[in-house]
Amino acid sequence: MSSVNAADAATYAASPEAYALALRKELGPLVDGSDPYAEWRDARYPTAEEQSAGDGRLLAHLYAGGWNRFGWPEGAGGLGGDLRHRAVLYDELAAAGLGVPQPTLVLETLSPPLLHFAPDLAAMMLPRALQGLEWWGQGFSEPEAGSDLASLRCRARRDGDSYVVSGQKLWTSQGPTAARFICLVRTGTPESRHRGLSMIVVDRDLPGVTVRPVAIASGRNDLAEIFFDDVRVPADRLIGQENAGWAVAMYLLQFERSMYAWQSAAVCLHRFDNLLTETASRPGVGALTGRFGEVYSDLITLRARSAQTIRRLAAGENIGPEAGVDKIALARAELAIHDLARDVYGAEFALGDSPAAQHWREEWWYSRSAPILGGSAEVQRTIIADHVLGLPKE
Amino acid sequence: MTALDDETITTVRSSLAELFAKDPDTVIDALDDLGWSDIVAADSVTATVLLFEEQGRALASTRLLDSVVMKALAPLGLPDTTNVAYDSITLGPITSDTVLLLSEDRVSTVPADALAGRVHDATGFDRSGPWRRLDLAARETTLLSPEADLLARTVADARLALAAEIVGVCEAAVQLTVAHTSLRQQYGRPLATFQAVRHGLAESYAATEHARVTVTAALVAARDESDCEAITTFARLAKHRAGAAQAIVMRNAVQLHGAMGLTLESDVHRYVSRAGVLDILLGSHVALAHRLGEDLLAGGSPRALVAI
Repeated sequence: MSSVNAADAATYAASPEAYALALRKELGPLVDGSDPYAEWRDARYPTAEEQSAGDGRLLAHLYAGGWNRFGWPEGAGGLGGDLRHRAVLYDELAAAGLGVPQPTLVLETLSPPLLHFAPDLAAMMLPRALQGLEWWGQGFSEPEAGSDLASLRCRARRDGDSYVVSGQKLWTSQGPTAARFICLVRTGTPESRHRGLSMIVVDRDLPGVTVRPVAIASGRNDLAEIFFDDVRVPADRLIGQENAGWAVAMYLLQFERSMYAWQSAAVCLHRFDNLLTETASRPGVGALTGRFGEVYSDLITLRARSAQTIRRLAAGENIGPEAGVDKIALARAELAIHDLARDVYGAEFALGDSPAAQHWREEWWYSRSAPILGGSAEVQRTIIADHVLGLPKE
Repeated sequence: MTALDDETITTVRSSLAELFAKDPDTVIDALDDLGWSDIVAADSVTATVLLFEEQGRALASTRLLDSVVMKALAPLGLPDTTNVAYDSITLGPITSDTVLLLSEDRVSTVPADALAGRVHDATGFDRSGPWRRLDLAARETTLLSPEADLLARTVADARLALAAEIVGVCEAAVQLTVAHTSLRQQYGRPLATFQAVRHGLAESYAATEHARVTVTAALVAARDESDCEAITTFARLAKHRAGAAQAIVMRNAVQLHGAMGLTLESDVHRYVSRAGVLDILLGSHVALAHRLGEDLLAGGSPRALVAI
């Protein structure tokens, strides 16, 4: 591993292209054939918990060399640059077979609002996250509040210098091992809908926090259920103003719907390459020729769309409801590549125990979340109908 | 990326819309008066997008596509008004002395006077279209041998222009369907208040935007990229995406117009049939998906194509 020196850091911060070239060199095997990244290259972890830990070590390794600090402000552990630098990092990591570290999926959703609405919290939390020392869970959904997020009931009551949080969150990605939960909670009356919500950071190790891992159908603990039993949280953990949580959430969603899409496209393109290598010579694959072409097209469209959105966000533009178009492309690509892998492997996917079949099965189940998380496919279509096409209301 | 500001783009767009609405035959000459070469020089990608999207929106038949091809093939020294046949389909009647026949891997010519009785009005799907079909065997044509890259780039340019035109047709069809479903009442309220209808429209809109962004990204690559193989692949992908989008948009347009969408007196069929022929020219989305898949399965690693 090499480290970024000060002169190079200035060059990379000014030019995402120069940063991309340098990363490509850094992340590939060395000329003498040795590989500082061997531990992570096309690594498969048997459990979600081991995956998180392995990804945390990769982040620590990258941070030590300075490689994952671009795109973040200097006050928060960064070396300058913008959103495009982060997109470049994920693209190069995925292309090098190192994957996109799972903790960064949530990091990319939650750090833009932290930086924008709570710079002090960002300065405290981000450097640790970039070093892989901690990662976070997003506490939005609840048992009675899925697509209808504004009906959530987890309460935070102000008491002196603290908020007292009580209630429950569900479907928290990375939840089983997350160090903190960034939660949307009700600070207004039960009927206040989106006007009475606030966003707050709750540390996992506070008294009254209980985490129950939730296994998805693949058997992996990809999700968690979080219980808050009168948890006292310092009031300075609020992100934005009290009762202004909806605006923070809307700000956050444009990042969630674009960077997540880009990260997903980068990983899927590498997995598509794997699928071709694994199966191009399998008997019967010829019948699926057109499907391979369609999946490739889905992936390139997803890249084109999310890259455009990331460039616009980096330039300070507001994306708003148009982000639904990215989300629809994401869902189509994720579903299509995993359905293709399933159909190519056939009986082996359904019943076989080869590592490749096992891997695709696990990812197939996870891919089903693409049209659900971050606003379901149906919600995206309704947002486009209401706010982009301006159709008369239902 | 663009040297044209939003205001200029809006002005150019409405000037083009006027031109196409008036008399499509005069568009090519009128572009000179509009100072089109300056717009192309400022930003060739946006110029192509504007020109062909507006042609698509207007359902206009011109020979702009022929001029894209003849410009790309300028090194061959043929007159720039030469009629082009795209896998045997021409954009209109033959008016040049020589006809150029263009396909994915072959370019050839035939003298127009050898075509007596071999040019047929296309009376198929797009009945009011100006299309002609040539009934001709490859051995009856004179094979040209431009450098391989020149042919590949020409096909890519033509595919991207076609794809941009399909985006324009789709955009107009979505607008038509939004207008219809917002006005037409059933059960005492506009159709567009029903969730199934709204979601169909949102899907059509997203499909159109997916095509638009893919076409734009491919045009940027065709302008900036030196690797001809990457340009070929990207142009195939973009035309695939546009062709797939028109399939979604037109299915929804017909469905959401109800029985009216099937009639000759409604405009819907004009969008459906024009988009259908544009999809076929130089490879339908189905054929292109197959071709892309063949190359991948033959050992071609999927290129990332898009960078940040």
